[in-house]
Amino acid sequence: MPETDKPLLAHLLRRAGFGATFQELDRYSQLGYEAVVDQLLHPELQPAIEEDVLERYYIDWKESRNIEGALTESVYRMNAYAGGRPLQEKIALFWHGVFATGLAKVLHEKTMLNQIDLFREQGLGNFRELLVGLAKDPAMIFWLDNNFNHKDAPNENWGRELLELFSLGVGMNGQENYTEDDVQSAARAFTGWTIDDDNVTSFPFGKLPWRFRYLPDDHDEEEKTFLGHTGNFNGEDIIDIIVEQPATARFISRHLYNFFVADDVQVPAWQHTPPGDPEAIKILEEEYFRSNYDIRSMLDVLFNSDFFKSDRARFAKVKSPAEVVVGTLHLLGDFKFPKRGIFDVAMGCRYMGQDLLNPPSVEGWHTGEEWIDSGSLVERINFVADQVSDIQQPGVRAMVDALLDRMDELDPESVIDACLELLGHMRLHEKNKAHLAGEVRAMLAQRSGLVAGSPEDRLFAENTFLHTMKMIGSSREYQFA
Amino acid sequence: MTTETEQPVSTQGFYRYHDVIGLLSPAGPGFSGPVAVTTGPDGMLYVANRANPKQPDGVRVSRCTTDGDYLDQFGVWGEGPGEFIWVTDIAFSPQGEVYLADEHSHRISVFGADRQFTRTFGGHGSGPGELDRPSGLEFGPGGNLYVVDTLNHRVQALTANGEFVSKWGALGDAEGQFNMPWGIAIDISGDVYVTDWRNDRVQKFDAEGNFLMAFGASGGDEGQFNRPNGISVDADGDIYVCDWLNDRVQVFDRTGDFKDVLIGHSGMSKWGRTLLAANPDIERKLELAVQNIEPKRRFYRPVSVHVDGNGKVYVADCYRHRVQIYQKL
Amino acid sequence: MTSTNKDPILVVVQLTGGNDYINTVIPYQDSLYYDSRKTVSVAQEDVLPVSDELAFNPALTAVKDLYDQGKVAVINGIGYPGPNRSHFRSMDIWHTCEPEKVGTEGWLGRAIRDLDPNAENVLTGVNFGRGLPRAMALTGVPVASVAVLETYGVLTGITGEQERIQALDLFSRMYSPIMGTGPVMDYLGSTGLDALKGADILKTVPAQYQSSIEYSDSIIGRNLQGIAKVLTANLGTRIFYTEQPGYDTHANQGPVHGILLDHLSHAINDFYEDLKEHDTADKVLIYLFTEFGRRVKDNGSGTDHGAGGLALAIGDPVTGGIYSEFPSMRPEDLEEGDLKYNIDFRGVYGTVAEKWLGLDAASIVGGKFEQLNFV
Repeated sequence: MPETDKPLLAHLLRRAGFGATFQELDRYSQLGYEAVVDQLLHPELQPAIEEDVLERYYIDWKESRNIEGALTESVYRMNAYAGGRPLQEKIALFWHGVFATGLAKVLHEKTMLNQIDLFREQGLGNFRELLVGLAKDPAMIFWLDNNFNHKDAPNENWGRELLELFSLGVGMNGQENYTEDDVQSAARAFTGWTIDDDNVTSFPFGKLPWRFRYLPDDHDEEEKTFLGHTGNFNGEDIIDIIVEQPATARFISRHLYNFFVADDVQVPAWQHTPPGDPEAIKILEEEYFRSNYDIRSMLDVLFNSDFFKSDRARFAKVKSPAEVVVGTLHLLGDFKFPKRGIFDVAMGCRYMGQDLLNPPSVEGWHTGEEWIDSGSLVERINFVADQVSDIQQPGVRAMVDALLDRMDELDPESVIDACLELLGHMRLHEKNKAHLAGEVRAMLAQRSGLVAGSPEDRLFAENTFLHTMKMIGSSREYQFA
Repeated sequence: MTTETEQPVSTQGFYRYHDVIGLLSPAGPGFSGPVAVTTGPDGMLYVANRANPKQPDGVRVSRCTTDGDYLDQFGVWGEGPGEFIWVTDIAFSPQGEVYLADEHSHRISVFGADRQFTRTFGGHGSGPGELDRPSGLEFGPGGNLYVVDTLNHRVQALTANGEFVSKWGALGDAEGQFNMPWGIAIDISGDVYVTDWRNDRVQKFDAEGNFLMAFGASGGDEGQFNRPNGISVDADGDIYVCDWLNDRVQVFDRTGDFKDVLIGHSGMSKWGRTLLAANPDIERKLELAVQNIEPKRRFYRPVSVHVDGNGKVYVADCYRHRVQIYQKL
Repeated sequence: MTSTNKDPILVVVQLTGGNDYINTVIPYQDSLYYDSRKTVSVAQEDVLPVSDELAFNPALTAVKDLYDQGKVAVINGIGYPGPNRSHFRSMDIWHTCEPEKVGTEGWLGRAIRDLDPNAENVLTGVNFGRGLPRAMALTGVPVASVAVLETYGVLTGITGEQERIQALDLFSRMYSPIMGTGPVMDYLGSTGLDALKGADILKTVPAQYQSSIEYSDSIIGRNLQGIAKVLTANLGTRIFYTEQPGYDTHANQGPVHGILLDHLSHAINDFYEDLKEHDTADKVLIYLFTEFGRRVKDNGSGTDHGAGGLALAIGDPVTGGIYSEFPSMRPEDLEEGDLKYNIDFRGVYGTVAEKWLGLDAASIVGGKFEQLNFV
């Protein structure tokens, strides 16, 4: 029955979150698919993590003084919420990839983390409200120089990227979505949207907070023409016009598809290259308008759609480094309570090519297969292989115990199938499965000297499972979600 | 340029702001996430620094005069003998040895008056003499060391060499129970005060652990707390509590009645002035921060408080990497 | 592309954190130096003079020796317009040659591509360190990032020798091409096999390396020894990269900087001697850079971020000497308390790319900039 279909639920949790443990899948299958989607779409109804305990032990996070501290905190939070509020974290990661802002320039960790909080709190809400929040976000203002955008000396950086990268996109169906005049009008409409103090110095007593400030005296009150409309527009008026555009519906829909459904071409190609699944995009665009730009509604339609559930969407995405790291931590059940060591784990995300909170440019990261190069692939493989075979981890222990309970007889194919299932209903190509089965068969052949049910036999079985999970974790197929 | 609104230094007028010592620095004159402050038998100020994982060199105990002249630092990050990772508190024994608690390694390290490492005890566990994330440390007048054994939700009394003497407490919110307690102070008669962190209260016991009184409740009003941590008792019996998430230090009289509150009134420190003299653009940046008068002066997560024999109140202002000093009037 | 023993090799050492220029190459006769740095200046009687005006920090004994042999070029006042004092941003600028906008392609990535356009050798570029430095990043250019040479590779968590061999064998089978699985699986397969190939080649290196040199114990020493091992194995690597972290000396600069330079000096010496022993010193150029220099005036314990800095080129191919003017320390000549640069770093890169590696400088560094004659 489709509602309790565990591979489907596993697919849903990989996309809407960072994957699910087998115990979670048991619980989800009791609820049924649609109820699970509904629960995922309302993370605010699930309990918050204990902030006081977090701050007590990670006493350097709240006013982190280096990018690595902020990166570490982000990884910890994604993992902490991977069970209870996975979509909250995933949508924050999504918007962070779209509204890419880099700490290397902002250099104000708290402000950057506040921006991510904006995405957590409003990322599933109304897109218009989100854009307004973004326009007032101090990190964004500083990142795109809107604090230098003055009535008598406009700076177009924010105005341009708002159109090019954050809403309309350069073009659609081979046409351009806006002109240079539109960029200038947008820039002029946002004059005066600034921050009260853009000075960054850690010395002598740590950094001081940034706040949005609107300076009416610095605001251009002249008439502007934007996308065919004319008036004395302020920033919010520009956003109102933007969100009405079919191009915006298209752009956001393609982004949601690319992040939640299947890897598609990179953004710069979108002007001239149609979407891989035009029907799916059309469905999302319709919901965009029907729901009055509500992201939650769009995701509701997306997760319940045929195109999402179809086989074509399964494992159709290369995991981002964040998904590799957090997905693995969640599977392991690690770092559920603050302790040392999260820093080194989080840095793995950087070595795999995703320096969270510090994308290489405002265009964000290149995703899909571009996550992979010879350096990052080795990091990914080694990270997963090492973690997934660490029997000290509660999640690994639980998987191995479940395997031991089920396995009356150990034969290679059953061992592999059981491991694939517990790792989240993963798949291996039949040829690779055959290769792995050969290896497992050779391992199992050494079992003959052991007494069935003895401690040595049990240990042997454990090691067989651990090794099998390790090889699955190192496989090409495991790089996909 | 900058207009400073004068806030009262303390609301009831029992204290006057005196000075600030500090500067963000991972070594030398400066602090990096100071989590404990106390004065030693040599009359010097000792500050334990927690730093952050990217800068393990910043983990150390800094020593300076109470006038803010830097002397030296000791201690090194690590898990080896005499090293520490997550330092939480410092205490001086009657013999003048320095005791440091480490809540990652679950142990207490002892250094001589010359600050050379001598020995360590503790170890992870819940048995007698074992620890689970120890935080507060204090010596009683009888020479025993009292340790706040946080995740065991208890206080242990140990000898100066770590041998078990007694313990009290369990997880809960009844009298004599704790929920992740943090700080500890002991008055001249040997009574023990513990900040019962997650229960948002202070509890007082005699030296054997018999419950005497409690005060505090969750909230932001006078007499309420939001996760209290550092605590100290002065010669008059007044009780100083770092009201951590409320970013203030509250003072209570010996009966637990609210007396006064300190919110931080920092000016510029000596080390800060030296830095600014070398860095003209930093000085310029600070001057331009017109909206930030309040944050510059106020406490931002006060973690530890210590009152010396002269009525000087030292507060470790953790996220501002400084120690603010008040004078009791 | 087969490697001939004559192919020039570049070793880039990144001094991370902002190496203090004027305590490394010291204007030891200038009273301004001592007046500005009451705490942090190096005592005049300790320095190692290389000219009437400039001297090396006393810790750089080996570098001074090499200088006396004419093998060290001191490049003064190197920088770029609109200096950025943030570590990350400035380092990115040095990696990508893009002071104005955010670049994502590294100059060395371009150099590797130009040296090996068909990526025939997966080890043309090797980084000793984790992650890929942006300087070497370019889509389609494979780079091996080696943290520890002896344990580099895939599935390094498997410790048993036999187990490991079997696991890698299985790995290579599971990464072999399968018809009909699509371009991404193919790409993953070839990338995985490339990594395996690189690791296979590199794992033979430690055993065949022979040297009488005892490298001193430091991070940079170990990294340079790792490079020496790979270099002398003649695997065709043309560009090596590594870093020595720790130069962000805001506090306690005296002892900290001294130790760093001491380690660096010994490591360079050991490395150079090792190359000589293997008869390859004539084909290796070592280039050292940092993301910015530091303030002229100290802050009482250390120094804070500055602008114009120092680069060094070391090795047999170098025409030793002092290049470019030492910037003026007079207050009226400073830019916000910092030294002004007088040679654009892209020209120095260009010098290395063109005159040493024989490549087209302009396309690698993004324009034509004044070059020098140190090689």
